[in-house]
Amino acid sequence: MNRIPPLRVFFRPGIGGIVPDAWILEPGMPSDARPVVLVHGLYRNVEEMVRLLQGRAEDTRRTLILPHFDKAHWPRYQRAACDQRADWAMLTLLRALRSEGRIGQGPVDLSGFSGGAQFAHRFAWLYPDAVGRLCLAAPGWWTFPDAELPWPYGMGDRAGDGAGDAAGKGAVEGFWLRANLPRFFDREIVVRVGTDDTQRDENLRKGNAIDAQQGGNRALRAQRWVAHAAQAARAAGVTPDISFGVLQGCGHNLADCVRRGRLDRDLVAAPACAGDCAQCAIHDRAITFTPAEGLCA
Amino acid sequence: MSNVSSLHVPAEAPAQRAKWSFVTRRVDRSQAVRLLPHTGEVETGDLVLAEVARIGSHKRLQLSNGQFSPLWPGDRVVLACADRFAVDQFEGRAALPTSGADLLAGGGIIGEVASKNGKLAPATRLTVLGRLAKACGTPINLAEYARAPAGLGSRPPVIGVLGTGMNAGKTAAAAGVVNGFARLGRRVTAIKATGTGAFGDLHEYDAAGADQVLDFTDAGLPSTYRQPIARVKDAVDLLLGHAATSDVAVVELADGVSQVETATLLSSPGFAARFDLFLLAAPDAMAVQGGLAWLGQHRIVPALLTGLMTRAPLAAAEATRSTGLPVLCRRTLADPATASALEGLVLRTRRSAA
Repeated sequence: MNRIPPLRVFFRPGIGGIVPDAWILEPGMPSDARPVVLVHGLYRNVEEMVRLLQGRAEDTRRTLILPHFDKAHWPRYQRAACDQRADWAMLTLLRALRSEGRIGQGPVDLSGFSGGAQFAHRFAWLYPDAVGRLCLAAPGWWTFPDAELPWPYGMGDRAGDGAGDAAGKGAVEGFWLRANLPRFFDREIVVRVGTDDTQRDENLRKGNAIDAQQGGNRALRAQRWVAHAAQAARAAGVTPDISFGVLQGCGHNLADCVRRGRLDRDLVAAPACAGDCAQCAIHDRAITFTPAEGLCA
Repeated sequence: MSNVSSLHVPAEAPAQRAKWSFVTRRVDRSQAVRLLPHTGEVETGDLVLAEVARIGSHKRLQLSNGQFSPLWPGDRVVLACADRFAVDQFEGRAALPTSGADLLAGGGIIGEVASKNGKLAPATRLTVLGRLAKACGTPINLAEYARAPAGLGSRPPVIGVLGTGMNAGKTAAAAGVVNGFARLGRRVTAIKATGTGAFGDLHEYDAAGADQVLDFTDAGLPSTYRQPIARVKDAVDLLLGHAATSDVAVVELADGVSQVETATLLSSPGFAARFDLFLLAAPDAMAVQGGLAWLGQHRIVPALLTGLMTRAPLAAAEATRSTGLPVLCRRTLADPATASALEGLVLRTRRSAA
């Protein structure tokens, strides 16, 4: 009798400031589906994510990669193109994993929770070619597809934009985002947030300007971003493939969202599901889609 | 000095101990078995064996192995005869007067100086020993050693780097773009499409991470100055053909957009269509205005600005304000996020053209 080899869970040490440490979950018999990179939130609870998603890796037979952007080297990793360039570190990690034969040459799916979702949408926007499906769960705030707002709130230019300072850190993010706009939206984007994720906790960016632009809490901000994104995608000639859903009874807690809202199924989609729920037993979920045009409702 | 018949040159290998210059790097040296007497007759691209008579402006020669060699009186050198255009150096003609000739460019161009920049010393003076020839007596010409045309392949994104003039920062910009794509994991072919044969720019591209570096000498031209425009376009097409296996081609055109050769190329029907987008390098905001005006007349709008002006943030900000175009310094061009954005722009360009 053939037994499926067990899931391998191992730690890949990085190089501080260059490439992040990463946990890798490698199924014994991996599927052909793209690997999934999952990015932690501000609490950097990578080991908890590993525990929470281990079963999902086994069920879907997808390789999961969970980088750890440690606070010392990447204090503002969630911005991706931050001073410490977490985006470069992610590119380096992916390149290393490819050269080690752990992942293939194609794009990866990218998911993130909280600050990880902030990173994920900005990274995918900067490098649309490197990312397939994008799952964004409960980010504190967003970069909007709005050319009137300067980066990182929108994709406009910052005041005084020029060639950048002597260190080469140009205020060019707006240019990058505008150039990539159609490609960024030309993918499946899944947005999730808990129905109870309405607290204005200490990690939520607050202020009159951002509250007015994005809303007063994560739930409102996610809804508002989805609406803007769909509109911007259409304006760019792309038919949006954005699904928004709320996790009933969930607040801003990853374990809660996984156990109660089955967020693991969004973070790590079943391979080749294509929304055909009759063929997979993974969508017996308790998600309410708003509007009711989401996948597998 | 010009009486070559009195010089002892072994007939079997007349240039065996000579310094072979950069532009000769594709030549099969074993074919250079004869030396034709120096009569003044010469074609562009002919290989010339010469002796250094007097050291002048060029004190070093770029060798075919990619290294510099200091020049000494009496050195024998193998060069290619060609025209040269360089505002800050020499303008020269592809001619070999019997009275002697000049080293027009350190990459190995011999000819006759027509004019020079006032800051320069006179050219290094050469005694022409003769043209190298095959056993059959046919002069050896670089054109024979051009790369063979590549097979048909899909055209990768082609990014052109233009300038408002010489020393506007084109090569630094091109190298920056090459580096950005290399860091994004792309295979890059970097091409110097026009100018005078020299290894400096190719070394820059190579150091920036290009998988393949090519220039017009790979298409059999020691220099593109005063060459028939159809010949130059054929050379560009040949080089782009060899970029088909790459993910992206970065192509630098020499000198400024209004320089006669570059202007003719950019004005010629269909030439600009070979490129998906252009960058314009300029030393200051005023030069940007002139460059954009010229390009606008030819329906070319660069995607972004770069060049020496980026050393001065005020100049860059002025250029952005006055043109609305992004201004990116070399280091920002070398950012993989910039490379990704350029890919995005290329895709949009191609979709809108389709």
